[in-house]
Amino acid sequence: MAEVPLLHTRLICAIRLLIMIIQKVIKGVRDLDDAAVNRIFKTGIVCNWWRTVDPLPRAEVVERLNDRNLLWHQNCYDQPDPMQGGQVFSVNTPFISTTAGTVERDLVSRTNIVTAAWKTALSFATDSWLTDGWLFYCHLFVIGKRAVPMELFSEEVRELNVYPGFSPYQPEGEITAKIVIPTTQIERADFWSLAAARAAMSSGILPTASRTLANPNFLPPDDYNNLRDLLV
Amino acid sequence: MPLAELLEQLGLDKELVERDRNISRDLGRVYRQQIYNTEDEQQRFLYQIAAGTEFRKSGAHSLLLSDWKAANESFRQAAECYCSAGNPYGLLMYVCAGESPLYVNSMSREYSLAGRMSTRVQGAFLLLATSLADQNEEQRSHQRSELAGATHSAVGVLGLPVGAYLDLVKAIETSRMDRPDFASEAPFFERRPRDKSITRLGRALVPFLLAHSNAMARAMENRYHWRRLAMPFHPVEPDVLAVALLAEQAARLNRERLVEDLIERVPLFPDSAAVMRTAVQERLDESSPEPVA
Repeated sequence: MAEVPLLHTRLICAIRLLIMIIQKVIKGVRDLDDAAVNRIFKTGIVCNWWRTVDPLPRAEVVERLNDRNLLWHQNCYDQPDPMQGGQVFSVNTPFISTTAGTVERDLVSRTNIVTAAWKTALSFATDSWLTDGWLFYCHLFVIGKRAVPMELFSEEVRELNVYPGFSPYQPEGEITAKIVIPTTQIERADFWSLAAARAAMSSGILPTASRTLANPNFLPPDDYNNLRDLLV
Repeated sequence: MPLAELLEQLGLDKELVERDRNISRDLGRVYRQQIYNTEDEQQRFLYQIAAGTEFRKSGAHSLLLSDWKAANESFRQAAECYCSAGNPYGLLMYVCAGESPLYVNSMSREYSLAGRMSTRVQGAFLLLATSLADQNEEQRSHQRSELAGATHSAVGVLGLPVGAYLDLVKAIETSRMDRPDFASEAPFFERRPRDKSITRLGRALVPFLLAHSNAMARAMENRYHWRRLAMPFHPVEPDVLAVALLAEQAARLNRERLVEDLIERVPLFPDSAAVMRTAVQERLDESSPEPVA
């Protein structure tokens, strides 16, 4: 009889693991040269807090990953944070914004507005279409529910079933990573020349990246997920 | 004061709005081109909606720049994309483009929208957009009955319930026909004091203005995203503008003014009030003023 609760717990854990999703996302970053991109391929994409305080005080991580800071990250990104001595929140945020694109929050009509992930990311990467920019294609782990203190799992801020509160910014398609996106989860970085993108669009062609840097440390999800391939 | 002169007050950068507008317009054209290049029906549908989204944004940005000529062109293109996809939301884009009620109504027939909607609640857009001109009472009654069970369903960028759209449809129809309310039709126990049609219109429009007011107040708090206009909600939100224009047009049929009077009486978020008042005035009073340099 004593084994029943244990079995039950294991079953729940198994179900939770089964619903873990590997979500493709894009992170737009500006003002980088190739050397800086290659450094990111070594370190991963780290949060601003880590960039401000290096080495990162690991003991504080679990305290910083909380609902309050997630809301500040979403809604008060460039406002002074009294919890950080009045410093602008973004300087010490433990979160990393990425986008996966979305259809609007309209639950029923759904398709009035479509926001492509690359466009949202590129808008940030180019400082609103002012400079060239880089798009990092990454894979994040999401579990279909809130797990704010858990560093491993990203928050599906765009997902209405998980975050039902109204946010005028929700349909940016945000998936929020925490502390670091490890290099093994960064597939590649695409360089977008704004001039080339404009030229493509004026010719009626969907713009594409000018060139791509592949991350040698990337581990394709097929190598570690639970999909058993066919024997051939 | 033209909308373009409100930009500074709104904390927005004219050059950024212009850059973003141009990108959306160009991308809209690219997506529209893709519509003709694909054989896949589902892909074509997505390109139609993607093009509509970009033209919609380009139109709304052009309004912010008081460039009505460009706004009209973009909203018309958005309308064509949505309507081609069978989505009557496109009719609201025609309203934003300044098309007449008769034209909007004719487009609903041209695209056979009544029979092509992918979800019933899209009927709310159809009923509302054609409420000033459509006289096919039998069909409208059928469409209303289709929506009867969905009055609490959220629709549109601001997530207002279908019931709010139906209230406005009824108010516009009543105003159009200038007929007594329920007095001559409803059983005695259901009768209510007759409202003036302008009062009914105002009551039905208030939820839309309040939704815009709330959304704008919240959106402006987030200065980081607001400055970049990185949001689907727009300061001159076409969903709300179209609704306000229809209600204002209905009021003017009876030689009354609605939006400006309502904004005077309802304590809205000041920037929201300024934007909506100016946008409706510019649209209806000065059909296509020159762009502000």
